[in-house]
Amino acid sequence: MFIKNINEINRQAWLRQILATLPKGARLLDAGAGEQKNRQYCGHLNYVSQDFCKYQGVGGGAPDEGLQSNGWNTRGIDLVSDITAVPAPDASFDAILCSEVLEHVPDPTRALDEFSRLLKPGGKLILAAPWRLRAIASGTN
Amino acid sequence: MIKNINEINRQAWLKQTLNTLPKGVRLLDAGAGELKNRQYCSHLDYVSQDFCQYHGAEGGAPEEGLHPKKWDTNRIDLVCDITAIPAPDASFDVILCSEVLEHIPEPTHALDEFARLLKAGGVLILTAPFASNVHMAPYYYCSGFSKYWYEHHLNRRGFRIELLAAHGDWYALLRQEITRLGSMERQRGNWTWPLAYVYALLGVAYFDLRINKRADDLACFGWQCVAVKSDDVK
Repeated sequence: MFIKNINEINRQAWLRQILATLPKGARLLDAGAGEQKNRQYCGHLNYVSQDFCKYQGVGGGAPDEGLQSNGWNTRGIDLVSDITAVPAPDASFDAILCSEVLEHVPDPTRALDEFSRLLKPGGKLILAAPWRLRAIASGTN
Repeated sequence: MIKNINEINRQAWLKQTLNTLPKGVRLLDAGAGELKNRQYCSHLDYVSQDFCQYHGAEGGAPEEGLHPKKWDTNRIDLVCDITAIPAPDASFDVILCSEVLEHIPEPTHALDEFARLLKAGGVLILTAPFASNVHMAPYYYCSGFSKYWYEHHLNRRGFRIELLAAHGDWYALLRQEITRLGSMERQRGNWTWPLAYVYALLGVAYFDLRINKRADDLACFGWQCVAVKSDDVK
């Protein structure tokens, strides 16, 4: 019990709870969805995933620096694009989820600009990003 | 044992780097604060800039994070936003910006301004924390300035990186935080504080035992960067 990853466990529990409060059928964009870890909490939603799909883990040519995941499978992403230029109309989402992604974006505030364009008025933005991180998924500019 | 090697080593590096600059060159110290680095610039034409809106704990800072008691920016030459400095294009030979980027909402806009202010061939000297505790709140936005951050943002602005070196590593960072544990617990009135000192001493002893193995790809205090503005860029 001493060495549980409470960072991950508590964050995922929080996300699950927040996502459960969204009304059934709401259109949600999972920005920087990666392996769609949070899709499991979105069964009641109209779930759309976005990722740049350039990071593929150690097996996919990541540099030998920082922490890397062994494999990283982003097949099944709906919108393959830069997170600052998502091919979707203005005000086309009820909610945007962007969890543990901002640290991988060179200009994170431009992603925020894009989210504000994509969200309907009254739409919800759900963000989680590390405050003190170790280098993960490095070199994925 | 509890020397602040983060600060000491960074200042030593700055002193050494600034010393190598030729006599009389025009240097901008961007976000100069209390002019801590002016002492290394007596051979230079030194100009300081700061926004001068932070005044320390006694100057109305919120009770969050770390604060110096007082913060005196009375001697600043150019009082302005770091992203809009009232000086002509290409008017500086060198820009120094040390431990400042984490206090700027849009740090890349400061890089844009530095690129404008530097002469072609001019030198940009940067340091910024990779993992710092909150200090000078609310003017603390983001650390995590990684090697890849410098490479991405400097290259696209026409800078050639001459030096990009990790200052400290993951172990040094851990050691630093452990040395803070005792005083932190005491300050916050936790009865366990004597235990914290014992734990901290053990921790420090451990790190001193294994000091030679580095892991700076994982984390560090911050990166030290020297970049040159290319001749062929405006």
